[in-house]
Amino acid sequence: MNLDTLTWLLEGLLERTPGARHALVLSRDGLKLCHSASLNKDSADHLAAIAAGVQSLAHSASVEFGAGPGAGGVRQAMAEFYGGLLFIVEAGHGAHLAVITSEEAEPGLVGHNMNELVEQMGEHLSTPPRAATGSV
Amino acid sequence: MHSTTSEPPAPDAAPVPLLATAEQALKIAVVGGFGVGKTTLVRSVSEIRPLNTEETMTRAGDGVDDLDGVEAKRSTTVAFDFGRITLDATSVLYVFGAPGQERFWFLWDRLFSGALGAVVLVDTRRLADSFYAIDRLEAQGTPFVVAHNDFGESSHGLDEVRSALDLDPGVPLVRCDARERDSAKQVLIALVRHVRSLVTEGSR
Repeated sequence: MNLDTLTWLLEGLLERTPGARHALVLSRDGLKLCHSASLNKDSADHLAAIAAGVQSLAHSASVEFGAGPGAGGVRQAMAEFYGGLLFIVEAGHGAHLAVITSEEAEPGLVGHNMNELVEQMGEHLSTPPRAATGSV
Repeated sequence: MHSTTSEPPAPDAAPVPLLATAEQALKIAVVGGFGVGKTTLVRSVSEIRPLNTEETMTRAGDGVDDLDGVEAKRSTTVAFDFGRITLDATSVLYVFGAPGQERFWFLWDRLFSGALGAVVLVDTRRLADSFYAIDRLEAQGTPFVVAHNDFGESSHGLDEVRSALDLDPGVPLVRCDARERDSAKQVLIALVRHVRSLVTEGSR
């Protein structure tokens, strides 16, 4: 699956999700992989860094207060702020999907559509670890 | 696993409960360039299980995250590190480690707010990476010390490091090995002393 196909899938998600404004796929270390046309490069870079941080903190919360290491994990991280909502779900190995919606969006539907999209993208989304460049 | 570390984690010592006599909570920020050892320092000094937000570095970072000098680095902090250490019967340090890369610098404001002072970690292989942290601390007037993390091998004198960083003579510069608890603790003590001396000078 190439980047154009991924971007097309993201645009499709925005179209069928009322209130959805932006969609972005990012690597777990906070770099954008692809995003909807509604985001410019700078906003996409910023959202990628934010989403990686939120998702990582959510994971720490799951380890500390959830089912514990190994059994836990983050299903979805969500932030509700004046002017919008932010949703993040895991999307394949080493990647996350982030969506920004308006305040009026229906969280259940947004989450459902995001998970559906992640299934469609499937394995194609994996962002492998960097190749070894030095001694381990 | 979601969270991986670049070196084996310290043996899990029993967490130290917060002393009932603790009444002074001091917030410290640990800053510096990418890959300089901030997470390692917080991990080695903390007496509670530290909060780590390390993520495996992915191929998306090729050409973005420069690994020159730190080729063995496998993971990077994407939010912040958090640890706690008791100084004495009444004082407790809360240590917040900042993320190093430029894309996470927006988080620094929150980490600095309410901080008593900061530690700037430097690595002589990548000295230029610490300029942003030093400039920012100087500009906002936050007291800080600079710690040269030499990973146990010193090839540069502290005078050389001081002049290369063009450091103000009033800013303490110490050497440390961020992997060693005692060494890392000495850095925090140097910072607390520095802040106390500034307070004493100011009240004269």
